[in-house]
Amino acid sequence: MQKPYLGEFEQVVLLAVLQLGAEAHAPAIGRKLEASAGRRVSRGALYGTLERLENKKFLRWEIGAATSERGGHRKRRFEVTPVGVQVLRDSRAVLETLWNGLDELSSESTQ
Amino acid sequence: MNDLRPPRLAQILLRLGLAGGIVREAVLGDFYEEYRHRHQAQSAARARLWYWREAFAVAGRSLARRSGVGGGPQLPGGRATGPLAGLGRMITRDLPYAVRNLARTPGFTAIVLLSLALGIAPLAAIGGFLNALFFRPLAHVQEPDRLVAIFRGTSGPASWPDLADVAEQVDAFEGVAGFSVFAQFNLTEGEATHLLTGSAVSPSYFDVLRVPISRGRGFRPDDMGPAAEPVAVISQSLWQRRLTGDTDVLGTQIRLNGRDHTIIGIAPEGLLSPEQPVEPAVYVPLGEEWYTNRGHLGLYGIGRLREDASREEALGQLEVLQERLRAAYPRYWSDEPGALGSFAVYSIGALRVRPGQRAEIAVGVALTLILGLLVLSTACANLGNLLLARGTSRGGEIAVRMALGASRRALITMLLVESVLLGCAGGTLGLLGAHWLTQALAAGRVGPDSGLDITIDLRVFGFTAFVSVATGILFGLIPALRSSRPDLASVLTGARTVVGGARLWSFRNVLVIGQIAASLALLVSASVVVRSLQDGQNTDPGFEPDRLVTASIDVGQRSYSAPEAEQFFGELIARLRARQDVEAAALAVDLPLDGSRWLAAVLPEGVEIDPEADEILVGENRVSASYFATMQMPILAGRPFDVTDVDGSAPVVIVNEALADTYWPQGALGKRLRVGESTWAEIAGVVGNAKYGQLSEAPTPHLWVPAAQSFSSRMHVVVRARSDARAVIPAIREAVREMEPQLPMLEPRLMTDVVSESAGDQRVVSILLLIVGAVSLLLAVIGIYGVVSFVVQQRTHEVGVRVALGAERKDVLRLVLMQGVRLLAVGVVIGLVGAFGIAQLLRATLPGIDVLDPLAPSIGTAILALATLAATLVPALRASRVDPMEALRCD
Repeated sequence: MQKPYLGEFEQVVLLAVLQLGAEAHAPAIGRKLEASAGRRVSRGALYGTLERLENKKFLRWEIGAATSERGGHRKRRFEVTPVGVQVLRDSRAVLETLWNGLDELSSESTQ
Repeated sequence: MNDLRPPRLAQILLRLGLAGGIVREAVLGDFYEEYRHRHQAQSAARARLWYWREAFAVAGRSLARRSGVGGGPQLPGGRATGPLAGLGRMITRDLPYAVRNLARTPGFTAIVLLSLALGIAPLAAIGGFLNALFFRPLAHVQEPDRLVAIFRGTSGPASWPDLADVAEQVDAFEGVAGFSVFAQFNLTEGEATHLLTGSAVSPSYFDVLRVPISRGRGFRPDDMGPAAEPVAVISQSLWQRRLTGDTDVLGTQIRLNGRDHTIIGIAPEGLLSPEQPVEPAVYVPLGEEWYTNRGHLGLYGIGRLREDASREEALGQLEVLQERLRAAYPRYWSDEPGALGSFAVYSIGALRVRPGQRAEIAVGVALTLILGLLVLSTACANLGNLLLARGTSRGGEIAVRMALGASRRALITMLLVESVLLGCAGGTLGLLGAHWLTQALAAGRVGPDSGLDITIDLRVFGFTAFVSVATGILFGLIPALRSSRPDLASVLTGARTVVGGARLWSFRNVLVIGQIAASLALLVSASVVVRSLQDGQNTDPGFEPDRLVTASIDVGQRSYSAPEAEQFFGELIARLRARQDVEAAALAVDLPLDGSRWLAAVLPEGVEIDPEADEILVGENRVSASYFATMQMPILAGRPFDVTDVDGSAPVVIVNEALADTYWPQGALGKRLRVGESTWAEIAGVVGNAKYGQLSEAPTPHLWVPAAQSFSSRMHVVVRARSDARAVIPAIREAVREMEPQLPMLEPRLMTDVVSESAGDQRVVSILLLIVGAVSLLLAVIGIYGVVSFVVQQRTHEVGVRVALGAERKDVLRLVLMQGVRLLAVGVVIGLVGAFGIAQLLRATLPGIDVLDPLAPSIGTAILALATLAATLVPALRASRVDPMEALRCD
């Protein structure tokens, strides 16, 4: 099987879901991304990515209860699947391999 | 109070865009939650903007993915099987394609949307106004179908004893109520006095309307009567604004017209009067002046039919009753023609649109709708023209599609979906514009205590949606038909065809001619109104408003008898006159140009009156001695009123020149006339004409009777200062307070303000017309520029040939300029004819407008000609600089 590819945005979405844990529903993910990336995240792109990640089996979701602050609509909570965690590890490993020996560059770039 | 619910329309959009099921539900919930979060953290406006933007993004993306066009560019226009499949393709394929296609040409899209928004906004605003005024059903009223309006005569009010008899003796009615025409109430809070509009109602009012009282109770039969404690029901907004929504308000006292009233209930939010689209701030039970007087005709009757009774049945029973009343009270039920007549029953809507006013209202409605449609049509002309030009420039794409086998029908659908989408998007923007416009106008026109409620409701939304879709189809159809029929061979081989422009009556030229005509018609009507307004402001009102100040005082609340009131006012005037800074002072029941007008039916002695004709109605005012001197209205003959004209002395009147000239050209002094039901009065003097209702009015007959011969509890004090009028206002207040500490002085105003405010109605109309005229001029200029520059582009090759053959720059310039001038000439002729028609309608609603004033059309034409030349000049100069080598080689 071809190794699954993880785009940059997909990667940050997965990480945000992991960071949020039990609180990972779309508005929280959106806010998290906006806070850490410092730019506006289109909800269209976010929902599209969530769906794509779900299709690739990196994410799954469960339905929670409806509340009044959601206008009586129910909540969808996301969770990273074991496959998703594995893919994140892999892509980090790839990045680390490629960063190897470039410490000077990485520290310079942070100055 | 801010609504925390997300915008409804955007919610619908989102719902439509997403596939059904649990995911849609969750996304809707997410949006709801984020909206509320943003609403609290930022602002309502930003939250709404966010919701709309993201709903568009999510719905659009989801739609595109579901229809399979998300991946890459696909060319719609292929197979077509069955109408339903066609509809599905329209939504899933043509729509997303149109969105992306329009997004790819932002300049074109922006111009079209701006044109459409500018065109639709006025029409939607007009729709909003008309809806609020005439069509919106009464909120909170249950089973309105069974409610009827009970009038006397065609559409007149009745007295309380009449209505009480109806309630008792007409058993087709389950209940009958009466309510007064709007009444002013003084609300006293500590030192301050506010003026409120309210209504005196019979105790059955809320029950007959079946309006649930939101807190407390409505009126009970024992709330009305000599022994009743004063009680009041207040409106929701009065409760929230003045009494800060205090929950313990029930049972507390509110001071109305100097008397404490116990608040017993709060009317439901936004409960409008059945008679005007205005919310009464307070309701009180009918006072004792109504109880027994059959001549006090001031109540509109409402009846609720029993479930099994028809309107005809009710009318039949009313006729029986009125025969009895006619026998018992001949004085109030006379048989004379023109006398206040029999009972009449109409549906409840007749209270808003009186049967007698229907023609008048129809003219007003027609006029405003014509104006709105004119603007819209100029906008539509732009839409049509731009789509046509776009179709031409997309000839290549369309030819390729057809060559690959797309059916013509599929192509037309594709193009129509695009134009309808533009129409809807423009309509949405137009609705937003209309919302701002109506809010601004409502805020300017109507005071804070009597807000005309012009929210854009479902009705207006539906109207605008219809107009938008119709616009899209109507003005997209011809371009779509045109561009889906290209000459395949010539387009694909790159040969040139000249489209439109050459023939005068081509589709695009007709559109531009229509635009020019419409905007000229609007500009001319606007300048006619503006000019007549200016004339009005320069006209002499017939009295001297400088250094004149007025205030009104109502002693009705002190329960004065007539002699007591007379003594009070006499004393007040004497005190004011005694002051050093006061030159003169007088009393009047009515003020000229203050918006209200009293009319009296008169019968001039010795004048043949056609008995079939309507009664002669003349402006009437009741004034004290020295009124004319104070106002500085010139006495032309005879004498002014003096202190000997009191109750009991020989009745006298003073008439103006216009009234005197109408009936007694040989001299009116000493002649007699009868005012209303009173005895014959002798004409003691003639004064010069003045303006009473509007500055622009023609000389109108008017008469004055001595205030002392006809009592009124509410009077305007008119004071002429020696120098500064403003400085006299505290003096009046002081004088009133010294005599009656509790009595408020109301509405102190400078007469100069009264005069300038009287032009308010016309000013609103002329501002509206100017906006509308300017908008349509702008649209026309865009249209002319578009057409001429398009034609220039199409004819570049031809121009190149001409130049190569020796044509000079000025020849080319003239060639292109003539193109614009030709359109202008035809448009101006049609526009002037249209302007004349509009001016006729305007004259019917705004008196004193000079239809044949030549200046206005000249100004309008000049503005339009300059704009046309400017719009033509740019492409013309471009054409004159065509390099023949370039033009011949590459185009």
